[in-house]
Amino acid sequence: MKYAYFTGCVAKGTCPELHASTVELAKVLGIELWEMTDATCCGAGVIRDENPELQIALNARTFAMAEAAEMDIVNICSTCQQNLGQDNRAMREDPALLERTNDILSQNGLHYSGKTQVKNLLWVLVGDYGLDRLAQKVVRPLTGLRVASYYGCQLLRPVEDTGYDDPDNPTSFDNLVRALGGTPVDYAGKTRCCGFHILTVNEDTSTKMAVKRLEEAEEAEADIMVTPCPLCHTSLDAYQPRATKLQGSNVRMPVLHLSQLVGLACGIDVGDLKLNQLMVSPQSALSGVL
Amino acid sequence: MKSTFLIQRYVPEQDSAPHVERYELDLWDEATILDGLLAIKDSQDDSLAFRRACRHAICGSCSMVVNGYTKLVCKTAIASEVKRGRSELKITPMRSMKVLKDLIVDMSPFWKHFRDVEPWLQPDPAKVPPPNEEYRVTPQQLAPSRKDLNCILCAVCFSDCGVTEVDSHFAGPPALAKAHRFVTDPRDSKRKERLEKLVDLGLWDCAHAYNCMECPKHVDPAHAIADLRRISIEAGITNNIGAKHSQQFTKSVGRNGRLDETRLVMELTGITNVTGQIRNAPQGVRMLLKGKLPLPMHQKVDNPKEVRRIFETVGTKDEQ
Repeated sequence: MKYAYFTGCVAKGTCPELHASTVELAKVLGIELWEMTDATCCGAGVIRDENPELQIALNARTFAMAEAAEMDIVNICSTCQQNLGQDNRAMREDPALLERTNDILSQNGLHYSGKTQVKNLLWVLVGDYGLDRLAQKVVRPLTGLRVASYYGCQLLRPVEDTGYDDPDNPTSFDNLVRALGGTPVDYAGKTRCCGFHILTVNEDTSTKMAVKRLEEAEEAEADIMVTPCPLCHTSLDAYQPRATKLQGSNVRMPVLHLSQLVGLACGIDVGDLKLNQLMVSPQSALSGVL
Repeated sequence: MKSTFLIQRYVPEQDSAPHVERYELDLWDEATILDGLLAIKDSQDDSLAFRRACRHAICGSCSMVVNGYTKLVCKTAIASEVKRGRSELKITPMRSMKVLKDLIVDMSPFWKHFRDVEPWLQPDPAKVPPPNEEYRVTPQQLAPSRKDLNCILCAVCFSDCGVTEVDSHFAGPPALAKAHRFVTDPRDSKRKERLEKLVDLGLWDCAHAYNCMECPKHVDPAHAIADLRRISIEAGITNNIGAKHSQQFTKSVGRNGRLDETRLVMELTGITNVTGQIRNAPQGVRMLLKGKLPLPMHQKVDNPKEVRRIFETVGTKDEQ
């Protein structure tokens, strides 16, 4: 299995532990990653707000590079999945847009014909790799660990662009937790928004949303939350001390990246997974597993 | 088809807290959730309160939350939930609004936001034709608002919006989609005034969660909001944190292909805003101590020149 690995900006910025643990996990699973060091930011919907054609052109450049390398793209961020997915579909459904975009790409000697598939790591693990195969790699089962899988919002909608699970009743993440030996917990906020995208614009509302998600997981007696997205992770973990202080909440919830959770079950060294870079230590929550 | 309805019951004047009641049903295969509620009311419990009228997804009355998502229950088959492996349907009232009784909510907040966007055409009186003539507009001119026109005011998107749930100031998806309908109408003369007001009503507070895309009438408020943002920047309404965030973000990517998050936060706070920078400092220190501010701070793509070329071709002058 070989993928064009789209890291996104945050995994190479303020969430370095996500990139590090993804690389380690891929090694253990035998998934070959070609890191797209020349790929731009996906635009995060923010560039689209200002200039939709610019965002599409930037993402088309990324797709063209993957297409030339004859690989599909794996990403590790729900926002990247949604934006790459949306722009990819826009070009596939509108040949005139694809042609206009190719005119722009031609100045860089690139061409995109529309073939590249975009998949989040979760869909690669569940769909391409397969949970039975994954279960065979488990050497440190997550027995007894109550895991709140946080799908978040952008991994699931719009369904045409992310479409590997039912947005109203997703099951893939919980099935993955089961395959690792853990116990998935059901909770109200698992597909609701973490508020990241308005963190710098409206911190009060954003942190209210994040704290609500953390409290919902705590109410369901989860030991940890796990997210497939570094932006959710930033809201839920990196900003957790600040958010709980601002909103007067006592919640304290460790939040792992998807790659860290799977890596843990697959026996990767805790140091290599960079669990020490999490803002809220998972040490005591994971004591039964480690 | 057999199913179980778990319905939240609550009469504020009588009950100290909401509770759930269970109803077993065995209806025909095509039955809608509304059919189920009517069957309960007819034969099991006539005290159950819920709104409904047309039964054809026209009136927008029967919105409620089914297994976590707001639905127009006249348009949603029980089978669609059963197919998802949920033969138990947990039914609760819409979010972000006070419960009046059982599944009926007080929709005042919804209507307040709707009124705030002045949802009526405000043409230039000098351009309005005499009373015996029509003020004509072509289908092409109305194309940008075609989806907005489908809204039946059911409040499904208002109830499912994660921002609305915690922020009563935010106008919410339906009011913003309606605003888009008038901002893009060539006959309206208050475009700029509307856009300026929308910034105060929360135009930049949408968090892109896309829950509102599950509209029973396919209105698509998420894209209406994105389009309003684009139009408002184009109209020069940029002296607000949302537009600045968008512009600085785009510029950051234009420099070297990747976003420089740390610089973006500092620029938005204002480099010379000492109080703001001091307020951000503890978070910065926490992240630094956890190794979350790695050096070099800004990752570049391999060929930033290619990216700049794209910006020069498609980007506006401000973005380059």
